[in-house]
Amino acid sequence: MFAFLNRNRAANASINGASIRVEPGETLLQAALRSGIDFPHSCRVGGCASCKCRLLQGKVRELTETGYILSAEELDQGYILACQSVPRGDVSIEVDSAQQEARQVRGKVVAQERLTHDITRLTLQLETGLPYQAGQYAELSLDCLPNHARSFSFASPPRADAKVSFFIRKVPGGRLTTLVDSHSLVGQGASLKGPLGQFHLRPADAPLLLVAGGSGLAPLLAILQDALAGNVRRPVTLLFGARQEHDLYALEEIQALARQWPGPFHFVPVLSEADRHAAWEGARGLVSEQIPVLLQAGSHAYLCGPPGMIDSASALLQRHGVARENIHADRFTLQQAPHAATESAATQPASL
Amino acid sequence: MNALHYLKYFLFHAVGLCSAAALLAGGPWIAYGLAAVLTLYVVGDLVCGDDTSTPEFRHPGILTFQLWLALPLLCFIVFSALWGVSDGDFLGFGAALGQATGYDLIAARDATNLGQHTCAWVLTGLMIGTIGTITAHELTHRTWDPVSMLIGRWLLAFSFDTIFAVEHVYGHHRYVSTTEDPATAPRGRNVYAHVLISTVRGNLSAWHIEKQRLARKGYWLLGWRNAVLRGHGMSLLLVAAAYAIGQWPAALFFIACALWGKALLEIVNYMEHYGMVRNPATPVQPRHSWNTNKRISSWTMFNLTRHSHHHAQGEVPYQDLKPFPDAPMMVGGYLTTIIVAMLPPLWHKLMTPKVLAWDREYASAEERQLAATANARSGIPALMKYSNYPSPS
Repeated sequence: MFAFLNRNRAANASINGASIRVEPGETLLQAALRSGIDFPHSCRVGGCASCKCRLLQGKVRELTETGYILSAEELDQGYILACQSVPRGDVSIEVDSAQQEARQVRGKVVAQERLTHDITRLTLQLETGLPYQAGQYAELSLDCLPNHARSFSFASPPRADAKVSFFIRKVPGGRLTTLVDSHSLVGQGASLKGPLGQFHLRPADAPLLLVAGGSGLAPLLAILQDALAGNVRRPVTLLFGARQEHDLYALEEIQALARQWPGPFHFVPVLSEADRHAAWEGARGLVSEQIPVLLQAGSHAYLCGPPGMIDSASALLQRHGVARENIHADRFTLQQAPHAATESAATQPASL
Repeated sequence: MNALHYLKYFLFHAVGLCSAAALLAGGPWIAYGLAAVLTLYVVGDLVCGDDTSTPEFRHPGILTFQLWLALPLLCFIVFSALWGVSDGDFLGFGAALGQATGYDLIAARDATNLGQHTCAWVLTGLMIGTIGTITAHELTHRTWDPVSMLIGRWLLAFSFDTIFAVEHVYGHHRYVSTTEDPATAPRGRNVYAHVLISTVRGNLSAWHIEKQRLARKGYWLLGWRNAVLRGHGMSLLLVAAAYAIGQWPAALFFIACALWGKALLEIVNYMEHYGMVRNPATPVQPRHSWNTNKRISSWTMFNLTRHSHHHAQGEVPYQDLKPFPDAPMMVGGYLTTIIVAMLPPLWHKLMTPKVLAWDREYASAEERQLAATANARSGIPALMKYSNYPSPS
């Protein structure tokens, strides 16, 4: 009740050596899951001890009486419940079996929506929650096409109802993507291996330049929606490159983001093959050509799409003074024949 | 408009005040009041559709205050009910209110017949269950807030259910939808059996949890630190207060209302998790609860209707709970479903296909095995057909 007297501050938490940021008032468990760490948990209300961990350094405020679940010895050894602990300053904790590697989960296709003539939004209901960071990807395989896993970025931030969605573009000759494009898969079983990748929003104050090509909008949309929920106020310029007007999609979602964004939000769709006589009044040409015009000083860039677009965009950015470590890219490469299925398609350097 | 989102949660208080007024007005007004409440819920849920909005509340303190108001409101409602069955005029309340309003409460009370007193019992128990227990559920989840915990436990004392504050958070949320959970009804059980079994097992579970906690902290089992004992003591105090108001008629009437209120909670437990199965070692998922998004039920029950999200993220306050339209759905709004549950043949007729659909569409592979076992034990022929895993297609 007197929580207003207790000004919560952000803090850093080191979990088994990995440092994450804890927002004001967040519990350790919430922060860990939000950062994509698969921290063990179950009931989330302090009754089951699944989230039990040892506080090595620092102090926490506890939201429930831990005597309900932790023994005197455990309390002496510094055990706390992550779901009931809000850090007071920086903390360091150690927990058994907090996974940061990818794991396999089962799911089912529950929705399939055509976004453009060749891009489909596929929504899966997962059987168990899969924590991930907005911007990461997973390897998807459908039960009806086994041994054919392909990588797709999560198109939304993690949801409480354990649903995930992907934007899948039909690749000529690609079996999985053609299947998604041509057949109704609602009700089909699927498996996901993830989360994978290092593409996610780095906390900073710098203005954001986001460049999406084709289905590359997916991780950027996830990052923006997640940032909006996290009260990020950085100025945003979102460049969305496509061939023709009918290749643009998710425009309502982008407009909703623009409306709700607390800072400046500039959305620029760019068409590379718009017919000269078409009634398109927006930007034309290659999406990277718009960068010099729109680039704000000190921006950090996040690029996602075909390798050609990424290469030309990042070269331009560096020529215009953006440091290499502030350019983050997710290259959407095409995977080759099925026997190469064990390699992930999207190689994810954190920066170029 | 955001103010409306705050105001909609005052419907709850309006229902409470109208019930108190009906109880005080006596005679046929009690029956009209009960009918109005039932109509509001049942017909309201039929015609007003779903509320799937998720507004942002910048002043959650107002919502907390709305919750705390439930305690004085419930005290007033129960006082009105107890006054209505007593012979005397406790503290001259009836005379004073009669003078202030120009309505002869005492004469109306004298003219109230047995049927109308029965309606008063139904209405008061209903209020104890809704104004009392549902609010207390939200408040006793806020284990970090001593004021909310205190108010919540006093609200629960009205239905002899202070143990809920212990068993619900540290028992039910841990074991929900498994055979370990007293509040989860296995397939085939009828609601009346569940009221008894869940009450007994729930009390035993709370005692066990509290015993372990006291042992861990080195406290005496039978001391004042025992929350189960303290809670039942609070309920006894309320019975004593009822006696003070109207002697034995009031005390016995209060006990009857309290037990009916407690039964309502167990009926709601029955509805929320009937037939679900889960391996206790796996985390709770949205598929492990029955939900509804009906507008009237959601507003007057502080989003208890968004049950899947509540279990998936038990720490989220009620105003931030999201509707999961794809989660398993009850047959109707809360009061409608309560009525259906109280008619076991109708319940099984409607729920057996839903449970089988749950096995097909929601259950994980492991859960389908658990479901097959549950089907075998259910005693319901339509379920027992699916006792083998993999199930016959």
